[in-house]
Amino acid sequence: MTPSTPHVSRLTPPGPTVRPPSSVPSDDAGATLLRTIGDDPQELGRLLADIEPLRHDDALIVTDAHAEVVRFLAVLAVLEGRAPMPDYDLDDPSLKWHAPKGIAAVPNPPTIVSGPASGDAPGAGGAA
Amino acid sequence: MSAPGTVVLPAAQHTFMLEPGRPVVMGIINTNPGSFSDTVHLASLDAQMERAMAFVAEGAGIIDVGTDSGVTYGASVPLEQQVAAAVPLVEALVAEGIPVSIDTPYAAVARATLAAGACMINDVSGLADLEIARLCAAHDAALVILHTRVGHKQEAFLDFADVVADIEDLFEERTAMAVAEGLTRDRVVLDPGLGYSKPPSDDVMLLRAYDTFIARGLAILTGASRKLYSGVITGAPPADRLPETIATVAAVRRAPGFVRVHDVGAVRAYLDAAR
Repeated sequence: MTPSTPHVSRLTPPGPTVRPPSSVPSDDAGATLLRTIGDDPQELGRLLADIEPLRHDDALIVTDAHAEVVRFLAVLAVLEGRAPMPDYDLDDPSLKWHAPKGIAAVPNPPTIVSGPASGDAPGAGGAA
Repeated sequence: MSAPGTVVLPAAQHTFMLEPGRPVVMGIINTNPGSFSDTVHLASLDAQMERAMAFVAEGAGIIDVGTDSGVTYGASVPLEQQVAAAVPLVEALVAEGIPVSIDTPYAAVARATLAAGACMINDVSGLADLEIARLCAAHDAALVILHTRVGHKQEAFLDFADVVADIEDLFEERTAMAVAEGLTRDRVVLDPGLGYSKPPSDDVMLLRAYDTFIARGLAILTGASRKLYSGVITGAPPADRLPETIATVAAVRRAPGFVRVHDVGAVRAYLDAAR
C-alpha cells in the first residue's frame, strides 16, 4: 500500500529548545544539557530521564539525538495536556499497522466501527 | 518496609512487590512472526531463550510470551501450534527461575502454559472466556484483565462516550467475575488496553486519567510499546518508536505494576536514571 498523503507530524512541543550539535557554533554554546549518545539505546533512555525534569523549562538541549528528544517531549506534552492531540485521519495509510516480516499483507485498512460503544457492538468481546 | 502505595502481587511461585515509580519491566518474546511492532522473528527455541536471557540481563523482571499476535491481518496460529511453541519456552524460562506471563485469550494455551510453570496470564480479550480465570485460580496465578470491547484479532476504533468510565466499568465487572470463579482479588492485574478498540485520542485520555485506575489498589500493566497514538503525534513508524515508548512509560511509571515493552534495556536505563 502506497501512502497517498504522508502523515505530517506536528512536532512543536512547548518547553526546551533542542538542537543538533551541528547547529550551534561550539559545544558549549550555552547549552543547559549537552550530550552525545551515538546509537546506544540505553544512553538514549538515560538522556531522556535527564531531560524529563527540564520539559517545563526554557532550556537549550544540544544532542545528536535531537530528533528523538523532540519526539519524546512532544508525546509528553500531549499526555500532560500542555499541547493538544494533533488532528488525525484513521484512514491515513501511513497510520495503518505495518505488515511485519514473513507475513503477507492482507487487506488493510481495517474495518472502522463507528457509533456508540456498547456490549453488543460488532465484535464485542464481552464475557458470556 | 515497603514504600507507600506498594502493591503486593502473588503470582504462583513468585511475589511481586510493585512500588509506585518503579515498575517491573516486562520483556516481550513472540513465538510467532505476526506482531506488527516487533522487529525480530525468533524462529527457534534457542533464539527465543537467547533473547529472553538478554532481556533479563538488561533488567526485565518478567517475560511475556506471545503465541498469537492480536494484529488483524493474517489468520490465528492454530492452537496446537501455539501450545507446542510456548510450552518448551516456558519450561526453559521457569528452569532459570524467570517469571513468565503468557499473552493469550485462549484457555487451551493458558492451561498448558500454567501447567508448565507460567505465573501470569495476560488475557488480551478482557476475560472473554471465564475458564481463564478458573485456570489462574487453580494455579494461584495472576490474571491480567485488559480493557477491550472487541474480540481477539478484530480491529475497531469505537466511539466511547467516556472511555475512562468504560474502562472502570469493565475493570469492576470482570474483576468481580474473576473473583466469582475463585481467583483472589489480589491476583488481578488491570491493563487499560492502550490501542485496544480505542482511537488514539482515547489512548491519550486514558493515560491522563491513570490516577483513577491506580486508586483501585491493584497492580497495573501498561502495554507501553510503540503505540499508535504516539505515532499520530510524532509520525514515527512502529519499530522506530523508542522515544515515544519511553514517553508513555514516563506518563505511567507512578503506577505500581508492569510496563510491557520490546526495548527492555533502554526502558530500564530510563527508569533507573529517572528515580
